[in-house]
Amino acid sequence: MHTTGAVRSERAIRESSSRPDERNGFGDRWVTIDGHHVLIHESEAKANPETPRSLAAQIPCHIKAAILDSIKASNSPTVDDKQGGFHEEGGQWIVAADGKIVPVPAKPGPANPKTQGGAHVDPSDAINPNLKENIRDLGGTWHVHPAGTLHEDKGNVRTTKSFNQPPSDTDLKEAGLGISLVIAARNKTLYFYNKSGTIGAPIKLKEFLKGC
Amino acid sequence: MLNSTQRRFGLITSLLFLSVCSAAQEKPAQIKASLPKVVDASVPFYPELARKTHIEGAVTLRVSTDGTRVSDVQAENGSSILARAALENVKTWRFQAGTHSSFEVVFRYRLLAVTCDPQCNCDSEEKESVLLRLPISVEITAKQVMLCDPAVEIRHKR
Repeated sequence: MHTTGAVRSERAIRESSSRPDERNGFGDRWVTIDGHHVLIHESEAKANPETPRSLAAQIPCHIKAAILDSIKASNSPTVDDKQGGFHEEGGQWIVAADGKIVPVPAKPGPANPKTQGGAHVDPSDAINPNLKENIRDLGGTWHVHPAGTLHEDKGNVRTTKSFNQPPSDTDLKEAGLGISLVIAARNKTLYFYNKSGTIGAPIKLKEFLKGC
Repeated sequence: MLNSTQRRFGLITSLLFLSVCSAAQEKPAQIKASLPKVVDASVPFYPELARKTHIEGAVTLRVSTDGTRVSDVQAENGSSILARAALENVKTWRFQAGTHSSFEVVFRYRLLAVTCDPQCNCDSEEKESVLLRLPISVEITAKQVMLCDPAVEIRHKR
C-alpha cells in the first residue's frame, strides 16, 4: 500500500470518526491497526494508474519539440557517427525554481557504427549545465534508441544487426524520478517506463506529438 | 536502504578509521584544539535528484555549536540541492561536550564515471564512498547515470 507519507493517526482524527471505513477524500480510507483507526492516504496515481496517453499529456509542447530534435540528432551524423543512426541522444526536462519547465538536452553518446555491443548515453550530462542552476525538480528523462541497421550476407544467410528498441534492463534500473521515456527511432514509437517495466503499450510518435 | 542503526554503525566504523588516519596527519596544534569533536552523526548520502541530474560540486557550510549540538548553520556556496542535503546532515551531528565554537566544513559531491561493456554491464572503476574527516570535510561519491541498450542480431535465410 502506498501511503505517500500521509498516514495520519492523530487522536483528534480517531475520536472524530464514528465510522472507521468512511472515506475522507480521493483515495483516502480508514483502517484499524492495533485497535487504532488510521487514515491511509493513497495517492491519486495509485487509484488512477498512469497510461502512455496520460503521461504524454503531461509533457508540454516545447519539451516534445526538444525530444523531436533529439530523434533528428540521433539520425544525423556526429563527429564519430559518420552516417547517423548509430548513436544515442537524450536529455531531461527540469522544473526551475520559478516553476518554468526547461528542456536540458544532453551530450550525444558515443557512436557504435558496427552495432557490436550496446549504445549508451548519460541523459543527465547536459550540453549546457547552466540550465540546471535553478533546478527545483526533475520533470523527466528521455533518450533515443538509434535506428541504425546493418546487413551482412554470407552465403544464403543474411544477418541483420540493429539496436534493441524497447527499454533495456539498465534503463529500468535508472528510472524513478519524473517521467522516463525512450524513443524507438527505427519504428518511430515511444515507450514510457518505470522501474517495474514498460507502462502500457508503446505509442506512435505522431500520437505523442498530437496537439503540438 | 540502510536503517538508522546501520547508518550510525557505519559512521562509528568510519570515525574509528579516520581517527587512526588523523593521528598520522600533520595539523597545527591550535587548529586541532579549536575544532569540536564529533561523537555522533548520520551518514551523508548523495541526493538522488542531484545524481539523476548530474549535479556535483562542493558546498561550504559555516557551523556554530552550542557545545554539544549545532546551534546555527549557513551554506556559503554551492548548488541548492547539495547545500540542502549537507545542511540536513550537519544538523544530525553531536559534539563532545565543550565550549561554543564556529567552524567551516566542506562537503564535496562527486559523480564517478561509468563505462559499459559490450553486454551493457555498466559500472564505475572506483567504488562509491563516503569519506568523513569530521568536522572539516566530507566527501561523497556516487555513480553517474548511464543508460545502455544492447544491439541485437537476427539471422535468416535469404
